[in-house]
Amino acid sequence: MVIVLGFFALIAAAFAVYSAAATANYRQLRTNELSGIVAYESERVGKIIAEMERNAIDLALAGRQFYQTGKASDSAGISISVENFSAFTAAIGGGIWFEPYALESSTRRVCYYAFFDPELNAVRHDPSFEAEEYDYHTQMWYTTIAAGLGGNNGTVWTAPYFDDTGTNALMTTVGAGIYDDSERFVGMSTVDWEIQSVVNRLSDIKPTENSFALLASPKDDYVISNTYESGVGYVGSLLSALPWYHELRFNGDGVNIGEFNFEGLQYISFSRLFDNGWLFSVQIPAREIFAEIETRNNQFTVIIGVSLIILLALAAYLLSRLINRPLYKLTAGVAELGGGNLDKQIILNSKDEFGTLAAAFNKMTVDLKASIEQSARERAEKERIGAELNVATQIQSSMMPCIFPAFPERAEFDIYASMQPAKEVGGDFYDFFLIDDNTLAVVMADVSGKGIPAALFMVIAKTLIKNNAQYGKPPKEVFETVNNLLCENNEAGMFVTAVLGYLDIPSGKFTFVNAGHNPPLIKQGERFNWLKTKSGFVLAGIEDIFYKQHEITLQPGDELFLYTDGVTEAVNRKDELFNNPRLLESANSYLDLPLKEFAVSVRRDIDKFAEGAEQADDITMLVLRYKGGAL
Amino acid sequence: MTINKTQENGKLILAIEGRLDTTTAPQFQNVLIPAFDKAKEVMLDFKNLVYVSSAGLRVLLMGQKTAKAKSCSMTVTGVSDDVMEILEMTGFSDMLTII
Repeated sequence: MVIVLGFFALIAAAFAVYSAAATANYRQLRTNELSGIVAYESERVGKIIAEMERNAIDLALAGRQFYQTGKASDSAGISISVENFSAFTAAIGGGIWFEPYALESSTRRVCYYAFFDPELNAVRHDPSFEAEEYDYHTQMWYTTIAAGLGGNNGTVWTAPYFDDTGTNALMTTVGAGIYDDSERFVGMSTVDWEIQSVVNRLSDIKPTENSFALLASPKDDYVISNTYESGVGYVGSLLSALPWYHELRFNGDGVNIGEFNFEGLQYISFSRLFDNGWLFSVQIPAREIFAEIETRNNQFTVIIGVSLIILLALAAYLLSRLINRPLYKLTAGVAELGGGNLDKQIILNSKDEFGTLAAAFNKMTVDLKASIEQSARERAEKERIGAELNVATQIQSSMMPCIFPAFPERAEFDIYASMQPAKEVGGDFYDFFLIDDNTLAVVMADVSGKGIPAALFMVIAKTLIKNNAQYGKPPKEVFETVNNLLCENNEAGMFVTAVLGYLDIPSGKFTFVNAGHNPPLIKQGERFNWLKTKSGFVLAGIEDIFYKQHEITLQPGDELFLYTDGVTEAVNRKDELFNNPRLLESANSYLDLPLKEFAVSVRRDIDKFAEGAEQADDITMLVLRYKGGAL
Repeated sequence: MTINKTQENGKLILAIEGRLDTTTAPQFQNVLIPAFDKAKEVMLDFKNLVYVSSAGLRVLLMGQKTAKAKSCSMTVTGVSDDVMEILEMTGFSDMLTII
């Protein structure tokens, strides 16, 4: 997105630079163009002025000839003025005028003036200027020209003036001197130029709507005309009186360009100063010169704006295609996956991050499906194993005598036992059975380890012990035989700790052997105590072990308490063991209780000690109470 | 449980610290059994051994058998009273070389 915005910023900047350059370029071109127009117009105006001056000089030359040949006749003078003036029609009139008494000593005023008579549509002679009342020698135009000539061959322009001869036209007059052979000033020629025609002429020069032209005569710096204020020329002001006079530039060849502010408008001034001193100038409001470029700039801005909007819309569309659509597809895909469709695959044919994401998503759904199926299989497997283990637990517990009282018909003794595996099945086991009417065998054993391996080993051990014991083989021999049998093919390196004892019921003699098992507790008289003997090595550990057999004699009321290390090594949350002293104390707390209640109470003490810590090992207990042989 | 191994004059000393029970016995087995491939004499330092369960005893038995099969020696040292009680009870005190 940042890249896209940056791209647009770059485009906009490029347009701005280009626009500025184009504007500057255009302003230059436009200024040059207007300079050209002004140069052309000034050339036309200049030509008129030059021709009038030339006309004045031609007239003066004709007057000089007329003077040299002497006053032949009035008609000759009249034809000179009419013919010579006729050659140039931009002027309204022109003539030759002689100094007082210069041509004839008798006549003060000699002049021949011709003018264009619109009614006749022809040039004709006007004799009225010779009248004494007019006294042309005193007229401003005459004195001005006479004073201005100063003996040279050039021309002199008058300031604009109102004609007194009846037309009241505003005019300016150019004159040239007539000289005799000794270059004495004897008269002058004049050509009149009606200002109104100048105004009209200048009014036509309008490069832009509110531009205006002005023309100034050389010597007097008078504004001859301009078209300022809707073409109404104002005339007769000094050029230097113009408010923007000092801003005008007319000090070089060609068209000079200046700038000025007048009445809140900025003008560009194009001025040209002619060799003969005339000044032609066109003033153009800057905003009109550049109106076109501004319009074009505005159009340009609009075009750029519209282009940018179109580009943005395009970009948005592309972005939507590039981002939103894949995103939508992905979102929809995820929603569908969430809805439970694990077969959902998102098809995105793009090589960008979305493509990668879609591929990752597709892989995820496949993996997820596989994983769910796997865990479903595992769960089924677990359930199956759980169910089987349940059965195994039942089988294992049913392998051990579990109906109490076990020998209701025998009053000589009482027996109770229980086994609680830490897992579904355990490695502990107990057993008791009558070898014959007078002999009760009891077994307490613990297979190393727990769970199924221990349980399987336990089955073997239990079967072997019972098989070997039930025909009256002494306990020592039973263990020696069973040990060797268990050592065979004991790849797993398991072993069994066990106690096997025979109670001779009539006499109370208890013959037992201990293969690495916890010492039993014996209650003789009022208290339990350890029945400590030197232990033999565990079963299934090493072959050909010899076991030592021990004998004690029980008195009526005496009890034997066999257990596994699950009892003494029960652990609490502080990792402390229940241990022998606690077991002894617990056993002694529940003297003379029925055997089952005794076992349950001890068990309760263990649980209390454990404080809810998980049972780590199988807990197995067996209590035998001897009541007496002669009952 | 942690096992610190040190070598001393060709004798490998494994110092066991903590409890040797069902959860830690496999770790002990993985150290003890290969030890007889590296050293002829393996000494087990039980100074900091707090407790040994039947699973731990099983590893000791396997170690003893492996030592015998490979003609190596396995000795046990620094046995505490608590552990000795277990070893005596199970008959392991006769089977092991305790010094």
